[in-house]
Amino acid sequence: MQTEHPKKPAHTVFIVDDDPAVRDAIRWLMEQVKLKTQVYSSADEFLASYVPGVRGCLILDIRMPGMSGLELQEKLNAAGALIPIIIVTGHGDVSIAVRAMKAGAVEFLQKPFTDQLLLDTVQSALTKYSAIWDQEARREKSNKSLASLTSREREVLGLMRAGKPNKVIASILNISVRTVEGHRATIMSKTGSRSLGELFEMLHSHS
Amino acid sequence: MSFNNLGSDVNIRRLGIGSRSDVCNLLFVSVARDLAFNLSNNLSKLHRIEFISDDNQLVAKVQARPETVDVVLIGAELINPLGWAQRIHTMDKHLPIVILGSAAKCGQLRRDLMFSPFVGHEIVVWPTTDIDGLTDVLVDAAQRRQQRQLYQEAVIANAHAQIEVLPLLQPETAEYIEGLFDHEPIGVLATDPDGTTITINRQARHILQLPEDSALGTPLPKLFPKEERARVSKLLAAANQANGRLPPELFEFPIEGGRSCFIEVTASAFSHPRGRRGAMFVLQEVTLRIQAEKQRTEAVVELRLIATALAALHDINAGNDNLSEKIRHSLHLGCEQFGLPIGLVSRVEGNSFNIVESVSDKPRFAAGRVLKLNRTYCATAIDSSEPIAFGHAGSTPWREHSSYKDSRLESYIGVRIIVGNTLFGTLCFMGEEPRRIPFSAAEREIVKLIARWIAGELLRERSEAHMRKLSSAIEQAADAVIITDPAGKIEYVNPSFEALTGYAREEVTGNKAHFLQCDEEVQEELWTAIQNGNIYRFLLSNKTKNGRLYHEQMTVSPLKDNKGTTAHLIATGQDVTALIEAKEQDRKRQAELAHAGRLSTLGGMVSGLAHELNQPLCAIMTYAQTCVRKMQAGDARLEDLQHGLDQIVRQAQRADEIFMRIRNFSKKSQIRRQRASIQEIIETTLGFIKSEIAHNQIKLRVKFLKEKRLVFADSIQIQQVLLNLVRNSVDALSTVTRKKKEISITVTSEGSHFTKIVIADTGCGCPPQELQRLFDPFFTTKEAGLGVGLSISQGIIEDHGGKLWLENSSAKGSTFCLTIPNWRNSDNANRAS
Repeated sequence: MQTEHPKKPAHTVFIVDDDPAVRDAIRWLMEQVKLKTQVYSSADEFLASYVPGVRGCLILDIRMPGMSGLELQEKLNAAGALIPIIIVTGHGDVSIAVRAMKAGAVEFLQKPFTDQLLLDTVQSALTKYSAIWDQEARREKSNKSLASLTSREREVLGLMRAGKPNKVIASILNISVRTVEGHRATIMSKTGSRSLGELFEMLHSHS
Repeated sequence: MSFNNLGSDVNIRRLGIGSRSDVCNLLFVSVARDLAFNLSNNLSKLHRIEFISDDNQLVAKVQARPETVDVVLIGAELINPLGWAQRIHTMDKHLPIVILGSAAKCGQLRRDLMFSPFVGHEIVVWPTTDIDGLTDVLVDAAQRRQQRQLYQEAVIANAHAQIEVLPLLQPETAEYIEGLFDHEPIGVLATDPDGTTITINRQARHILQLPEDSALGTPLPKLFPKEERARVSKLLAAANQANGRLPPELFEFPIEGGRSCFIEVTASAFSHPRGRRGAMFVLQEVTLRIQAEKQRTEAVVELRLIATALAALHDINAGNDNLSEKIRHSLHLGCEQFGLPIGLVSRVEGNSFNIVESVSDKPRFAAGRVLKLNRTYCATAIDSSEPIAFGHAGSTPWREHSSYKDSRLESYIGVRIIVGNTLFGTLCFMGEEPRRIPFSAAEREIVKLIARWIAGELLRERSEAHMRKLSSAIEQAADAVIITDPAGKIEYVNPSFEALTGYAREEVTGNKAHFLQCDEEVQEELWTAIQNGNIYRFLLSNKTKNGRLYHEQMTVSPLKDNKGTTAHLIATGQDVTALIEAKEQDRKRQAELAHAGRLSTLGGMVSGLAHELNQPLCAIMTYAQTCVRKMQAGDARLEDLQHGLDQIVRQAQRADEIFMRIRNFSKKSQIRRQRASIQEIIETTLGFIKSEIAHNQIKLRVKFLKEKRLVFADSIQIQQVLLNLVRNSVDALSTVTRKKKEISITVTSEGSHFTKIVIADTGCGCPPQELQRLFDPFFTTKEAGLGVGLSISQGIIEDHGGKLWLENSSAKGSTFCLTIPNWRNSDNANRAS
């Protein structure tokens, strides 16, 4: 059943396969469903241009000259890359499949695959990782914003987190309530939180 | 004494007879003057002519002085010329007369002359017309006359001389005769009718061996030896009655020393001067002559004996008997000739006397017996080239000989037999009885003859046996033998040929030999080799009479005669059908095994091949599905589908190629070597295994030659070999982790006729204990391996005429090399390599 999937232009499908025909076919398919693609003929090539944090999924073959697919997977895991990996291989072996899955692959597909199956897998991977990426994005953001806090603001934030009202914070820090309110506003704007709830969530995810 | 034969020996002048001048006197009777004139012109000055015309003158002339007339010419006018002629001839019969007459009259005259009794021979009628002829006639007649006169005078003169001398002889005749006789080596004696000797000369006395004064008065027979007296008496009687001389008779006189002398006695009747008869005997000693005759007779006899022996030997030869029988015949011949009962032929070896053949009633001398040489007479014969012979051993030193003591053989004749320069043995004839007469020279010759004949027969037998051996060697040889003339026409084939080809001797003789009917290049090489006097070897395939295929290893050599020209060709053929067929079988097995190897190889590559096929399949699926998607989207244009569809086609083709490769590789096809590009072969091979190499992170380096190198090979088979080697390298590299993994394939030239491929890897090498067995069939170090790879590969390369070997192997890696023959433009060159 063909369904049009909602597009997120930010998503890129990375295709790594040493066989040019397979590469091109997958690319053509992805482009038909309006997915951005990036093709590489080897794992090394991919790694060379990989930007961590990029939103996208990796369609990866196992048997390739030079670095194999599993090796690439290992490397990405070691680097903590947040990119879903879909193994697509003609080399079907139970042990390899188990290894790949255990190493965190999203899916292990045997060639030849149906287009629907691949597309579904890509979509689900992207969807699944969207939340993660968002989360990660927020974390980044919070980290950034938190990092931009001055030390006084950080003190204030710490006390706010402890649940202390402004008055108490003022008295602890020996500053005026108005200054505390001013710091709170700065903190809220620096962190881009719209509510305390958001702020505290951000802090939570940060820790 | 007779005067008949006395001629002009007597000197006429000495006897005083008047000498004759050379002048001829011609008497012309009534000859016509003019004719006479003509004649006188023709005649020389030495011819004097006198003319008469009447008979008184004639008489006076002829009768009185006949010496003054040499020829009478009677003229034609005379009426009765015959009468005149008659008158002249009564006076002198021998005076030549020429009667002239006219041509007509001549005929009549001649006729009359024929019947005229009173004329002599010297008369001729001549025509007056022939004056020249007449001249000659006259001259001739005159000459004849003169000669006759001369002769007569000489005879008469001699007779006179004799008559004058004769009275002088008479008183001394008897003594003279006797003196004469005494000095002649002839014995003469005369007897009276009673037979008593009345005269005897010294020689006769000597011949008859009579003392000086005896004999006279003795009866003749008493003078002769007792044995001859009867014959002498008979001779005497015959002589007394004979009219002339009797034929000579031979009498034998024994003389001292046991010999005889021979006297030839010629008897004749003798007329005593007083008229009484008696006999005269002429005696001649003819001993030497008799002896010579005897010797001649003996020699003739001997020659006849030898000739008979020769003829007999020839007859023996002409027969169909075998050697043994022939020799026995010759022994019979000898026994007959010599009159001895035992004849034998011996072979002598060291001290061993082996009786080969014998004719004998004595078991001691039977054929097959062996005696000791030093106990035979023959031992002496061996050392001499002439025969040893004796007729009575017992009366000579031979009686001391051990053979005499053993067997008491009195007579013996033996000679050695030499066969081909070496002593064979002896031939001898023996008997227990002594021989009456000693062995003659002829008999010695005969025994030598027989010995030589036997030697000849033995030698011939030896040569024939040798020939038989050689010819039976060819006849019975296991290989087929063909003998042809220099052009290749068959003259002889042996039974092995018949068995091999199925053709009988008669069917092929005269035809061109089959090995000369093969293809042209072989023909050329064959004839070149033969003409240079060399041997040519080649493999020939042919069909038997029944159509069955067979293979022959042929060797053809020229046979030279003693002048050095090629007289024949001899070809031997060894049936290698079984071998070739076995090789064929072997090749088939090898091919099957190679096929199995290929399948096994393919089997080992299945996962890789599956993966390889999977790629195009996956691509096709994806492209096709995307096309469908596009179409279902509704807004697709045809051009949008183009890319996908094109790719589908391409990928399908790619898959097809892979299938083809597999199909070709796994075919159990006929091995066919042909022109192929080595680069293509290598690339196809790599097509099989490139992905596997890549996936194993092995770096592949391939170096081709600059030019497009063509080889003469079966592509599939070479692919199999290369694939085998490369896979081995891949396997060797599979355990390598730390260093670089490399396989290099390099193509170079090996000499001018071969291409060399070097496959090197940087693997772990081959352990030393496996090196030796590396190319052994079914040797493998892989769990799943059949082990056919390297041995099959080597077999394949060697079948191609190349070589496959391990160049070196160490912990740093292994290098294998193989060579393949290049494609050469000449088809046959490729076949030959």
